[in-house]
Amino acid sequence: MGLITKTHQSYYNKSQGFIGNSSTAAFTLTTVAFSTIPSSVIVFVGGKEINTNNYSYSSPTVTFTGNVSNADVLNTNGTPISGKIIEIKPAGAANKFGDYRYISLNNLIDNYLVAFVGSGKLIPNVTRTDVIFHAKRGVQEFSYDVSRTEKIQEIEVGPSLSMPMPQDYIHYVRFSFVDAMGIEHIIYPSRYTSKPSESILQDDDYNYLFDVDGTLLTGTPVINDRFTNFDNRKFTGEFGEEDMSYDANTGLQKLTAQGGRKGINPETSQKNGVFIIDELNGKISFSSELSGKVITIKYISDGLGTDDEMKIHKFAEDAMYKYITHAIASSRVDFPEYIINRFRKERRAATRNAKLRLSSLKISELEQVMRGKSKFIKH
Amino acid sequence: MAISVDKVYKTVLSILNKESRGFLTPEEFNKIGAQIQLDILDQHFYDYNRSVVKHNSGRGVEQYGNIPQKIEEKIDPFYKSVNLTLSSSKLTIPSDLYKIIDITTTDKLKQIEKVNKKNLSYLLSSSYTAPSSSFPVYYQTDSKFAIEPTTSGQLTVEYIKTPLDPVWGYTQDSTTGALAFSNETTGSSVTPPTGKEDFTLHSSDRVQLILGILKYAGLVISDPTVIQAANAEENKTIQLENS
Repeated sequence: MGLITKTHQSYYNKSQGFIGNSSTAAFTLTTVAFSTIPSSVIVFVGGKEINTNNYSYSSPTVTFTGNVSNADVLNTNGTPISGKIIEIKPAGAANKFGDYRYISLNNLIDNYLVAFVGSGKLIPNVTRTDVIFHAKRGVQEFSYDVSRTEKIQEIEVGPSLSMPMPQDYIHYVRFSFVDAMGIEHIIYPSRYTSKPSESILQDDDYNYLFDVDGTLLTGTPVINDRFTNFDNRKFTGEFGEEDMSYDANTGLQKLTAQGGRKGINPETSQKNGVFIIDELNGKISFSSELSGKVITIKYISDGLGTDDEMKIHKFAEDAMYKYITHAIASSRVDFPEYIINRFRKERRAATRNAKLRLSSLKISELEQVMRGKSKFIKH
Repeated sequence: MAISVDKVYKTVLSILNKESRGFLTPEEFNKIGAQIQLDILDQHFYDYNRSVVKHNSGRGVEQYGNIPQKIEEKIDPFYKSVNLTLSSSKLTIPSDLYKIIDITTTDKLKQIEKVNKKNLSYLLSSSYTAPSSSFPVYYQTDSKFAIEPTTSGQLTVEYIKTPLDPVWGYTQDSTTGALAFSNETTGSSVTPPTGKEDFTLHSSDRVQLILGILKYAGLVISDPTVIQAANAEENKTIQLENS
């Protein structure tokens, strides 16, 4: 049996279709079109959305009852006019496609238990709970290294120059600000400052202050204000207008050094801005020139945030089976070391394969990039 | 296919009476038969375990020589499946449960996994392994199966049932007092009134069943030769299976 069990219409339109014959008033949804029968629906007849007063829905059946405001497609008794196409969609259906690329975690665990666990198989016995644990750990590891599930959030930086970490944030891949043309410019992390997790309050003699419970009193770190308010040009070495024009009060040295950038630090000589991460409080701060700019955060999650995310790309399916097998075998005492080593080698080979497949290296695309290598580069 | 209680009783009697060793009453036969049936059923699980290990060590053969399959067929007559309704996320353990096989949703698409009660608190508190609607679990108490997470509706319980006790139902001739087997399953003229009940065992267990009954019958009629003969036969069978 093929793996596709749904109709084309249910995939592309997220709907099930019927044809009216002027006599049938009740239309029943089937699991051929929907993996789970929806709890509420929207109904279209002849491409026109039907007034909700003209039908009732009792899962899984839609029954037409009238034709108020829909007389062009429904008869007086509600039955769709003969030849009209009836389309029934779940209310609020997500407009997502491409699930065929993935295998769900639940499916993967069931497949694993069927194919790998049992007497005479690789793993003679294991509890399903153990398999679930290792499979979920596998999804995490694969999210970090193999499939690199990169999520992208877009926000506008407010006056506070700070944003909370995304809910399922594990680590960042790249921060960028988006210019007027929609092109991303990378924002680099600042290595020259940090975000104190607490600022200890001190008296005039620099002694620490405590409250009545003996707990240290803390305040807002001064470094925050300084970082927010600092003049970025002093950091990046960027020229200002005053540096480019003649001023009798400007030192001769400045004029003669115009254009010369001796001693500049290339790492900081960019004007995209910088960010720092407050790991303890889960916040990300940006330098002041990013205020009001649209930024994108590409970050890695662990693939376990929601049930919908718990899936594995089919390119990595085999690697996942090998991962689980090795993880189970290596956590038990009844497997000989040479068997565990065999599983380890198989896991590595399969993981490498999965990485290669998912890295999506295409000859024609590489060719296009490499065309630039023969271009004359001026320095 | 069940083993006829009448055939077994008559065979036992014919062996016992061959040399006028004695007589086994229907009531005694029924009690001994129930005991032996349970004994044989329990032995099947050990035999199955042993034969699977042997089979997987590369010494098994397919088709007619597939012993694990043969033993599975012997256990299959005791298989039972019932749909039970959850009450406060608990199922009442069926009264005839001998060994649980599985608990699943009624559409059989989702298995409820049995977990060790000792590990339950770890399972429930772990974010990775906490029972979910996709992977529910259960644990067993004295009279209930408790399902986690809280679930309602019906579940299917598949298990090996405890067999009904065999009953050799009979009628008694009012003149001669002779006992005659009655095939009735119920009726006031039959003794006992519940009627006859065949052995649930697979027909291939008939020999072992008769030998087992003879052993106990030897004790009842105080004849050690019967016990010795039955034991010798049984040992021969065991040796054959292990060779």
